[in-house]
Amino acid sequence: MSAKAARVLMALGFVAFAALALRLIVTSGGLEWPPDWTIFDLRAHRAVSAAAVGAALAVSGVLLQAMLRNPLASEYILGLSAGAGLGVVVATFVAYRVSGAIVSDNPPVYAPVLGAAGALALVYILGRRAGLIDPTTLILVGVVVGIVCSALTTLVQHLLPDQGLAVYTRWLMGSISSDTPWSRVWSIAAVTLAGMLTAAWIGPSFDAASLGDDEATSVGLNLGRLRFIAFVLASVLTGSTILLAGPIGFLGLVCPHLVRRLIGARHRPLAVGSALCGAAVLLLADSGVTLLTLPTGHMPVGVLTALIGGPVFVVLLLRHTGLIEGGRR
Amino acid sequence: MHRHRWMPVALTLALAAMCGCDQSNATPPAAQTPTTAPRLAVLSPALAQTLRDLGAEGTIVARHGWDSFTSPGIPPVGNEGGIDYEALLKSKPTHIILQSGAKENPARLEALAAQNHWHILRVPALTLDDISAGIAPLAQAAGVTDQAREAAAGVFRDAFELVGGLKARAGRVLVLAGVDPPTVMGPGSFHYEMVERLGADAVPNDGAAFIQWSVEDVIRCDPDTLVLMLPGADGTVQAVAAALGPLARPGLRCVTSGRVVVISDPKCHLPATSLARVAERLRESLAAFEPIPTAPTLDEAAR
Repeated sequence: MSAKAARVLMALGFVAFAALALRLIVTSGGLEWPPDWTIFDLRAHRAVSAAAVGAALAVSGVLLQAMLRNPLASEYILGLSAGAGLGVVVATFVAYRVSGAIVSDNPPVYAPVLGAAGALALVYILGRRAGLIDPTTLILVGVVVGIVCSALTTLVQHLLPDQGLAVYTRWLMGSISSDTPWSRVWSIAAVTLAGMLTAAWIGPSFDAASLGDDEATSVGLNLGRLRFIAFVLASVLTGSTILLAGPIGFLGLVCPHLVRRLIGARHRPLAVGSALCGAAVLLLADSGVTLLTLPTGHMPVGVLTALIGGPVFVVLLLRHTGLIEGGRR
Repeated sequence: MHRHRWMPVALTLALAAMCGCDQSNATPPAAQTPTTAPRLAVLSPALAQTLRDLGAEGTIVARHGWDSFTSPGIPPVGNEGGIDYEALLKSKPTHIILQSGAKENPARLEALAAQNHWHILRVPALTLDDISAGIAPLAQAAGVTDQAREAAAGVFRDAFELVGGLKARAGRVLVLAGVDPPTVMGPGSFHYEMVERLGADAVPNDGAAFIQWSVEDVIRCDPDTLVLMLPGADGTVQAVAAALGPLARPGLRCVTSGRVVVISDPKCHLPATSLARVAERLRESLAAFEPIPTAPTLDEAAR
């Protein structure tokens, strides 16, 4: 790792830590030291959740962009988030039909992971043309899969009492839940850490794979195995974030791009830097929505990330297609 | 090493953040005595309305995020999908009032309630009987007098007394909560139940509480009377035509014969005691219609 990359990583680490500290002192409409242990526990719960979700989404974005060799790939654009959300609502619906109670706060872990994996598999299979991954087709298929998953989510929602309005709001627009048990938060934080370390470990392989299939194979890289690992890892990380916060948009797209500009395209530091950046961005976003109290309470953090990430995605898309300066010609 | 000079500062900040919290408060506070004035965190706009009708608005210290009827000065503490526990703790409630549903209490709410000696009160509000039955526990939680409780219960009970001859005047009544697309309040909804309680004949006879229809479905149903529950709508004749939207075009019998009632009460969708006012308005409107001419029998036609 270069000295510059190490410096950037340390700086990102400091920013993430500062964002974590800030989240602990942010309350509705201002800053306030946690007055007691209960409040500290509540804020720490949200802070750890936000850090884990932000980091997991960013690492997932790095993996997807590397695996698909597409700078526009992210779990939100490719329909993984919508697929994971669908997995959650289907599991909740099945449980409701069986037990008569809606227990949506802590759905089974496998549900969002299977949903995300299913969506990614569909996108991967349908996005290939003549055995090759076509970037534009991939994005289009991802968008379509995302829309279909969202439609199915709405359908399942309509089959529930009260049309599931109060229960499913969280699964439609991301919001960090305070109702997740600490044990699950720590488990997902551990999964995120393991995912980041694995992504960093296989980073050099992705560096080789980015040269092209033939070049990667010629240096002895098992591309099939590499893609399978990335596939499983991206699905697990995305599914984990859904359990904690529902679908949070654009973080997996924007953070790897930001860090790539600072560190470069080498995947090992990119994975670590993106995780720190993702954690910092979501912690700051959650602080922002906590500070901003609307007459209806706090807006979901997914609204803020989508409002910021949407325009950034458009700029990236235009650059990628060479329609604005600085892009591919 | 000079590059890492910020690290001790950062670690100090982290330790300070953790130690700055008064851990002594982790132990539960002393149990509140029964004489403590009730402070209600009401996570249901409907139950907050019933409390207001009981004259107990002053006991509400926290409201549902979407409750636009309770004073905006009272802090919102989220909704059942996501409770803002920090705001809830700051409101220092004695009772947490929730609307019963299929969803269970969140584990953290249960834990905080046990720690802070909050009473969690779940009140059903799906049917008119639920609303009526919910008056007593809400009154008890708010500490209102027996007279106030009886008065509120009496007003609600009286509003749904059967009116003779209403079936002949109103015929088959279809209640819509929206017109584009037509959103039908079907069996199981309290609007449907309200029409039946008043002595009219609600349609359709089967289906869910909320049914999304097309205009064609409304034409096929061919109700004698159409009731539009449109909060905030203008009740003038011109406004009724506008409120009908796509239903104004196909020449529906109930529309051409002027048998359309627009209920514009802003609280007409709240399952609360305020439905008594909605029922009175509906009863007056239906009773004002001329009796529907019945189709002649075969004997009458032959004569």
